Amino acid sequence: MARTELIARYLAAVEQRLAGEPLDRDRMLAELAGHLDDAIDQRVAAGMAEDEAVRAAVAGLGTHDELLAAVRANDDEGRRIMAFTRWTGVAGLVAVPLAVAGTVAWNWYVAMLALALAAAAIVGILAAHWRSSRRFVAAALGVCVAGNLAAATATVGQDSALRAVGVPALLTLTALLIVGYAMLRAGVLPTAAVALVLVGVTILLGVNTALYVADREPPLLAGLGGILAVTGWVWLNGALASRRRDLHPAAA
Amino acid sequence: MQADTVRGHLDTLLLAVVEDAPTHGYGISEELRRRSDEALALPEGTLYPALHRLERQGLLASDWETVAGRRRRVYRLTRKGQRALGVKRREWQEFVTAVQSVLGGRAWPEPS
Repeated sequence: MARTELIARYLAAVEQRLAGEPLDRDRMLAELAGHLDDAIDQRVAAGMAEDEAVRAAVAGLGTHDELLAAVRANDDEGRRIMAFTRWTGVAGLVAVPLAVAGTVAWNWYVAMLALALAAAAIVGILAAHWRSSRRFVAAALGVCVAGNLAAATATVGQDSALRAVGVPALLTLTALLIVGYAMLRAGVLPTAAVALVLVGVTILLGVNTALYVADREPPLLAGLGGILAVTGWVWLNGALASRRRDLHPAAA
Repeated sequence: MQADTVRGHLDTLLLAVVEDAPTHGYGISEELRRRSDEALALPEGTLYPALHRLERQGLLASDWETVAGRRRRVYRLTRKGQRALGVKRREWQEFVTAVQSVLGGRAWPEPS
């Protein structure tokens, strides 16, 4: 096989392996190509057959996995963004009980707060996508569309107040549950914190529903639940700090 | 030498190699190998992400230049990089001195 073809094949494989990684891919590939040219020339000049020289030069660069690990280990900016995403993920988790409470209580302010927190979570997810993984944004956008359709369908025939609060709140809830699950899978959020929030949501939902059926005012309890969730998270965040890891295990 | 051991000091090594003269990636890997008498051998491709990071940190600067008729990205040490290298050299010297003090003056066993 010709030298140029072997190099092109190697670089194509590298490009595929580094897809989605935050780096100047063209520059990296150009530098690797130049490196291979120099390495092959030096080996050929030392008397090695060209095919053998190409194989040795490619081997000298390291495996694709080693290159990928080096890219991730040196991505300091990506790690800062992951830290940002982690905290916006917390905001997203807090938004879940607030969205539920706002919907059940028909409380516009609680729902708006939930939406503001959800917006922070979406920004974090988009930042993570921009520098790291496409999976987060795919999950967020897909669920936003599906959640919106489901919420609009579920509230057909209801009065305008319910639709105004319920649609965005349900949308937030569904989107964040899925995104939170994706972040959990990626190791950004510790299991115990997610469990705490889910338990909080369940309790809030039950209490608010009972109060609403009894025709009493639930928003105060809803706000209290939100504060409880934040406090619980802050405590857990400290207690479980050592268990968290970046999206990129190689950089941990 | 284990690659992990080398990685812990890679920044210092890269800055030191580029200190003497602006060099491209392949030249840096060859110089590392030559100065260490082949002891410091890393997968050569893994040097580039580290070089890019050092450039983002302002310790290195680079430009495309023509070297031996080929277009190469040539790295050079910045003023900030020179200061950082000075600090790293001092830290390394202190570390070596401290470790040597602990290990004592026993003769090293010959490799079998």
